[in-house]
Amino acid sequence: MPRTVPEAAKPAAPVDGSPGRIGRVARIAARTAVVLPASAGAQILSQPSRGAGTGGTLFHNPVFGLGPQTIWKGGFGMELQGAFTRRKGQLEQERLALHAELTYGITEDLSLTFAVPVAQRRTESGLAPGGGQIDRDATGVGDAVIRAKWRIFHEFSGATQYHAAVIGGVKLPVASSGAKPALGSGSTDYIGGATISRDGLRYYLWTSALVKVNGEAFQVRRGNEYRYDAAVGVRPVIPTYKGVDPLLLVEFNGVTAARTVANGASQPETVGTILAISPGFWLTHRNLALKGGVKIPFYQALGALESELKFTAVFAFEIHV
Amino acid sequence: MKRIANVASRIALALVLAAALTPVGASAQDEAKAADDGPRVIEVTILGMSCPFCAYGAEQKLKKLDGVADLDIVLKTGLATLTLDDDADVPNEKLIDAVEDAGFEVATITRNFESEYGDYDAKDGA
Repeated sequence: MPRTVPEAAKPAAPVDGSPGRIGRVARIAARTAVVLPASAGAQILSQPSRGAGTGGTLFHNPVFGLGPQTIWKGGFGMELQGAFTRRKGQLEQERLALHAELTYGITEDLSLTFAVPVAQRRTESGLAPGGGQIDRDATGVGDAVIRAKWRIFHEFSGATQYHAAVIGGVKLPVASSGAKPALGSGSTDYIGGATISRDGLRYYLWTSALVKVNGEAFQVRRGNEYRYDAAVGVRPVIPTYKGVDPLLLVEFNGVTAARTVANGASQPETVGTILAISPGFWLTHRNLALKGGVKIPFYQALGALESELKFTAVFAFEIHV
Repeated sequence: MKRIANVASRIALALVLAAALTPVGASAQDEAKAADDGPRVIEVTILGMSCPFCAYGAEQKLKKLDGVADLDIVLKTGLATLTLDDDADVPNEKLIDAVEDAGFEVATITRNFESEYGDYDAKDGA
């Protein structure tokens, strides 16, 4: 007998406007032994990196990826970030979130970050499988993330830095997973990875690789996520210390998800890969920063139970004290 | 013609006397005096400051040091110029610690005044 999950966590009907895909997804859903929570299937790949707890724009990191930069010993970094994501799969889905992030420099090489979507609104709409319209939304806090970054290497050459860091963290299920749609995954997830960068007055280069090991909730363990990012940032002009410092970025962001396991059964239609290109910017003045970018997918190979990412837009304000 | 020669010889004699009466090293003393009259300044060359946003940490650390009245940073050269209070000085170790706590490294430290701490160059560690 298949076990059940809370009603609020059940997925919406497969509706994406494509009759062939609707039929395929419906058949797959019918064959599926259990009903997957919304957070397990359609949303796993399409979460903005911040929502998945692996990203963060803090302190001269790329907008969507991560970098090895840490804050100074005893320093605080505070950030407010607005993020909007649109997906389309079984349902038309949107997520508007306001993230708050606080970073503290334990040492100049070790920083600790606490991040939480303090307010988010998720909406789902589309046709139900048996007919009828689904229109639902939920508002509340998101899952919180605590992560540490340890700069394990640095080399200086004039103003240029080469450095590397390892990252570890945990995503705590503080959000409501019973809401419609779910505001959190309901599981405790773990994050690990590494990142390197070259920082210079003229240009920056970053790359990072992270894995998010998802925990189990409601007898469902979502497939692990593997994130890989690369970015380049170019300054139009060499900055002065007390002047405004603009930087233009282009990021490559990739995520691949492994199969979700529900009630011990592997779900092949929950795998997939999304590759995206993300133009962005920084504008800093002394200890203040504005950052933003848009993640635009150019390749998506997804299982039938996954939703396509349309775009994610991010705008952030940051201050260091 | 003889008169011109007399004038020239007197000018030459005056120059020789002036040179003889001027103490050796007077220019160095003048420089030192000028420095004593002006503010005390320490120049710290910092490695790795690739943006003003991250260099802000260096400012925060260096400005908190006792005796530092003002600070200016030039990113292109990595030069932090610390203007000190009257008669103040900052040990090299404290300057190096402050810069390293900000996530950077010190290349050189120089002063425009006599100091017990002396100059510092990371290449030879002194």
